[in-house]
Amino acid sequence: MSDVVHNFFNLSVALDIGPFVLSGLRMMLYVSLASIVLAVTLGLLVTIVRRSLRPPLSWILIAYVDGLRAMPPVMLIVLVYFALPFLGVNFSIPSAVIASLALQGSAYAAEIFRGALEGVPVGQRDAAGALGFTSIQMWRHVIVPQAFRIAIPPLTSEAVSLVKLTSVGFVIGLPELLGEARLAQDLTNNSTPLVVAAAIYLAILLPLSRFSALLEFRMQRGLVRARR
Amino acid sequence: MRLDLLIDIFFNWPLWVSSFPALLSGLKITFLLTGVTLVFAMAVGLLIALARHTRIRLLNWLFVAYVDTFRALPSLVLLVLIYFGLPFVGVKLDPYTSTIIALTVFNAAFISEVFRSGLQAVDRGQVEAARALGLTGSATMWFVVFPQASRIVLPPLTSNVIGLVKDTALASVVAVPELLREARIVQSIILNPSPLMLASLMYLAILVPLVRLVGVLEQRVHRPG
Repeated sequence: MSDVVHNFFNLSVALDIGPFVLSGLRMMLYVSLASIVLAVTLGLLVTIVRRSLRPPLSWILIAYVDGLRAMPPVMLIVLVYFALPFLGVNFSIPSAVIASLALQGSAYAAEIFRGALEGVPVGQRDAAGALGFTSIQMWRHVIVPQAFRIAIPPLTSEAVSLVKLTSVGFVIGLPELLGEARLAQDLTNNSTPLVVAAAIYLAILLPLSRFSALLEFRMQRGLVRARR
Repeated sequence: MRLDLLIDIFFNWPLWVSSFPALLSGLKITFLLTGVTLVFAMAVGLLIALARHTRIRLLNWLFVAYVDTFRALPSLVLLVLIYFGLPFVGVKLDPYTSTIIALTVFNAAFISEVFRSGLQAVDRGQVEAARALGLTGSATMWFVVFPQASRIVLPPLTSNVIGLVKDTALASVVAVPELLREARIVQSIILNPSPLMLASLMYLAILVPLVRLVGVLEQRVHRPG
């Protein structure tokens, strides 16, 4: 029992590895924020382009969205980091992770935006038309605000999973929380750093996923009320 | 960018052919990990769902904490903890066992929630009607509740299988020779990333149909009758 405490819950080790934890956290924050911003922007772009294309061409974007959603994140990261250099495209480790997560996130975001636009009832368009709104006014004042509201909860949960996925960067040596913890484990010859890393992941991700579940719940309640 | 260069590097047919046997053996391991984990996770998930159905308060709290924890934690963290951490207290698990344990713990958490919502979604009146018609408790479960719940459960369960297949690729971190690992090994021998592209296409060949299937199944749930 004391063996377990010494190797996994060792307070003096936990206090010693502060610098590792901090630099790991900083990297995690940087990679998460960059990939969330890029994913949402790119996802919005994909949605807009997809809506303006007719079938043979829009299939390319459908393939983009479905293909990226089906790809294991590790596989994509390995592909970007180990295969693209053969084409002369060299990414640093953090940029390779950001690029992969952003690509994959953009596919999910595009699906979310598409669903949100479809979720605005057709009657709203008809009503806007009957009230003499121009097409631009209709989009700006009627469709986009409502679609945005529908999109926020799933977008939040997608953002949470992107934060979670930064850990996969470990595979190509990204010095985020898990990578730094492994390093600290080797240096201290003690497994406490791994436990500390897991605890920090939980401390960050538990509230975030609670928050996104709450948003989803409130959103559904709002919809039910609106339909009455 | 020249097309012939692109083909030579990613879509090199002779290299695809020569690396195919290695990737196929990797694919088998991927399927093995998925299958074994799914069986364990469904069994554990069902037990947890039924335990929560009993509404014993302490049990309920315990499983809520379990489900929340493993829905929030990245699965790679647990895998690394099991494989690289446990040897420090003398518990040395081989890569396969470590992977299957880690993935089971995660997927059981998801699946228990899926099963629970499926059980809850079946109207109480259905159970009462079945009992009024003289069906026993277990017959009610088997012939009335489960068939109706299964239709609700199928789309999220399929989503879970997709996530599980993707997660098996994490096992390459602990050197399980699954698809991704095999592709990396072949790539480092022949110094050409075509095997990585082929492995990606194999994942897509399995997972794109499943992603589409989830969409179809989801629409079916919303349709009455």
